[in-house]
Amino acid sequence: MNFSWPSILLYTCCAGSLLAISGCDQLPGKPKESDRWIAPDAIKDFKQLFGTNCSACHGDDAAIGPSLSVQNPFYLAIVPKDVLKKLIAEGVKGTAMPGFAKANGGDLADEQIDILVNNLAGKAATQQTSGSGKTSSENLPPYSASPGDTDRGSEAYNQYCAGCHGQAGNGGKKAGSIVDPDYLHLVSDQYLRSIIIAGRPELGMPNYQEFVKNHPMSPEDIANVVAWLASHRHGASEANAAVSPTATVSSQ
Amino acid sequence: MMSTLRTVALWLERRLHLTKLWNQTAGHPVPASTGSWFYTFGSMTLTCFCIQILTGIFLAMSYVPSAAESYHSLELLNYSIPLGWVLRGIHYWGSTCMVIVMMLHMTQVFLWGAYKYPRELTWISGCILLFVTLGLAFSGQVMRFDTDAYWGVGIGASVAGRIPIIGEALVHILLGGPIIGSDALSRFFSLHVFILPGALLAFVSLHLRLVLGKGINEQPKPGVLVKRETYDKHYSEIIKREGVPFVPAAINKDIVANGILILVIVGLALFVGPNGPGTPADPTIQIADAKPDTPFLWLFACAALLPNGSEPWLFFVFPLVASLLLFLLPFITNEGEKHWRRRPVAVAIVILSYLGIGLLTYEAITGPWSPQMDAWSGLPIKAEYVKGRTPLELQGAVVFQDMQCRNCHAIAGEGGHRGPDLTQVATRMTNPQLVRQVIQGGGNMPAFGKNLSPEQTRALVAYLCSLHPPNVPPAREAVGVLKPIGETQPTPSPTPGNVAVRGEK
Amino acid sequence: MASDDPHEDSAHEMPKYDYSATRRDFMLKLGIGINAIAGALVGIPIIGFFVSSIVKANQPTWVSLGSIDQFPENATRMAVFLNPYRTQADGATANVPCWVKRENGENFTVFAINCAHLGCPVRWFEQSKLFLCPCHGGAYYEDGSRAAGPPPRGLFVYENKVEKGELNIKAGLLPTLANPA
Repeated sequence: MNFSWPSILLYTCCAGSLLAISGCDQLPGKPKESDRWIAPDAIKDFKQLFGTNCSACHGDDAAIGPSLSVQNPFYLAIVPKDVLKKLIAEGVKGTAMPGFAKANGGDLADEQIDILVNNLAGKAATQQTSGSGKTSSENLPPYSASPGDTDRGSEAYNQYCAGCHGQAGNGGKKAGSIVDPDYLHLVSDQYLRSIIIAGRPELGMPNYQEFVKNHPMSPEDIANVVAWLASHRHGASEANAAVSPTATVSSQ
Repeated sequence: MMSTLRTVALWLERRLHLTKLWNQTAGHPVPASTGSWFYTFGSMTLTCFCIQILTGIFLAMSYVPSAAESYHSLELLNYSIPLGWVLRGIHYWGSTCMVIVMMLHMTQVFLWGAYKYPRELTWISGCILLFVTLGLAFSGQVMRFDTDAYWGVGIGASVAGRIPIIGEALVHILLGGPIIGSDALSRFFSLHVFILPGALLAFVSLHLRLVLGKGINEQPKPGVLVKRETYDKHYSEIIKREGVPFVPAAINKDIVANGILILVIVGLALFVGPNGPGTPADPTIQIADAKPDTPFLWLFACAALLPNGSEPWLFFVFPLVASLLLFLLPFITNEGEKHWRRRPVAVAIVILSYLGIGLLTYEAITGPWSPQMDAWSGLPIKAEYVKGRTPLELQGAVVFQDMQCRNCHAIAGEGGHRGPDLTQVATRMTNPQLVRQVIQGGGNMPAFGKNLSPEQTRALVAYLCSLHPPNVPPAREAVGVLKPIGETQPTPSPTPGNVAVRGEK
Repeated sequence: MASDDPHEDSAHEMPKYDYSATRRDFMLKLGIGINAIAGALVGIPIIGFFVSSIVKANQPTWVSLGSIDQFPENATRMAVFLNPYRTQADGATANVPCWVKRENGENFTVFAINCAHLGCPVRWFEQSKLFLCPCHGGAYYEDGSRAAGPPPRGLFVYENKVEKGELNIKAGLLPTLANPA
């Protein structure tokens, strides 16, 4: 071997300075533009906004939220944009949904709420064009409706819901009690209505078209069932409050 | 040609007495046995310091020590000025390595008994260097004027503010004003680039002068005791027997170790990169956490882990006693055994210190006491802890998230770790116990009674009662209906959700 | 080694020095005296400059947080005011946040953002009605009293008054245990 120390040193120095001038910027230690700090108000990425503000309760692509999934195609198809915006900005009084707008003590700028709303609405639009037409908005019941008739709601309940939630609503083999006064106290009528229409497919609850095969619930049926459920709230009907609320405890 | 060079060299030698200087410094005699890997940490610390000075000087060409500008100048260094990020990286990792090799150096000196007679002052000047270096590390963190720096100074001010009588004056001196701002940054800048490096240079000189003057500690042998009356003679005999000039005879391992050290520092800078700057130092930005740099994490962990009211002990009594012990060490054990094998207490101290600092640092990195501020809105619950629940339990899970329980309590390991993980809470606590805990708090948990409606409480507890593995039943009340002895039938468990809080509200 | 005198080779023999010579003695003492005065003249301004931050010791003054209308009743909101003793170089650090709790009408409580433990910024959570500290997990109730964690006391409270529809607080110092706002 014909190495001499001076020449090794020379080559190393040359290689080193070449590396320093040309190659350094490709090294993993170089701070990336994506690592640069962004002011919380300037975050415009829908995924990030949804992930940090909504996913804990409403789930995301991977996780199931304990509350209604706002990515549910039926829900997205029926909820009007301005309502969605109001829901996010102001929350729902009396329920766990907080207001996220700064004016309501939240952390989101109005612009960021618009990004959330527009992206969710955009999702609905792509689902309608690409989907099987099941969620096409002309065929769907309206997002909101005035309360229906309690007695007819009871009948409709037996027809559509009792199979899973039990005869009196106290829970059946597949699903728990839906008339628990504590549960009903914590949710709004609109929430009940949205869930009946959109279902919780991620938890095994079908949507309003699938309760009975080839026989979707009519808008009147939905309003009536909501009215019947609401009648089980505290004060609405004392008789029902004493009924044992949990027939099936979670354990699979 | 050669004769001209020779003339010039001789001329310089006559005036500068270079040979003499060389023989007294680089060529000073050391025991041959000290040419050991264990004796390389001192020179490595010095190398780190040189790297810090070099990179620091060039960083100062771009850095602006003003609260309004510093963050921007760091972003320029990171993203715009060519190789600025490399310099920042080397400076950051150089600092980290300096603290680490300094610790190793100190450990070696301690275990080898090198602080004993006649090298007491060498040890004391070394202790001063330790504190100056830690001061440089802390003030350097402040230069990276981000939230960690800002609130780090805030923590410093709060600690100072706890000192009785002079507390307020100290806060004002530290901050240079009534509030953390540019004056505070400028004070730390002065400290970081003038005062502390100046002090370090001065004390390094003293340290090296002492090393040269008193000679490097020989490799201790078990059973050879240090005695004030005989040691000097003993040492000069060692030098006479096995003395070699430090350069070139004993420096080879130092050179190798230092070369590797520099490669490691530059490698870390190139492949891991500089630290931060993170979120800018704007106090109106809500932050998720604020942590000091690595050398101070263990103290930070102490502040969280020690019981309430122990802060005066942690921040004043402990540092005072610890540094006093450190400085007085050569006078506490001035003579006697040097070899670590015959000094079990010394070995135990080293092991305990390393274990303690290591564990505390680990704790601080994982930070189990810090709530996870965004968990309540940004951390979904894993599907298996949502599926198969009743509507009430699902609503309880919503309450769980909404009431920020998740910020302190993890489910399936995800979430805050301030409080216990609740993945299997139903196997430990019964429904009434959970209700009591939620409403009254206790055991370092706030009471939620005022903020939860009876319905929310019942839903929440119903959900918590559903958190148990499928094959393990939920916990039952120990005191149920008392059965006569001999009757083996177990007490039926109360139906969760039904044994509710009606009485308590 | 120890006996080595670094100046050995260049040390020249000196004649015996007479320390009692009065003229030299006087000059030496005069020199020491002059330099002591000069040293004091240089040192006093330096020390004075360094400790001026204590001596001038800004006192808290009244600062406006703006109209009371921006604070809904029975709610806690963040308000930001400019440090009254700011300088141009302060940049964003001149902004000081605080938590304003409007009980009703003109009844306010204004909490410092600094945790009473080690000064980290506490964050308000509307749902659980708790202030949580990110550093060591200190928690405070809605009224600022300590709920859990290491803080030795409740949150620091700024004195406040309402004047001409504006909420004013007495602020300007970093709240610490030595100087609880």
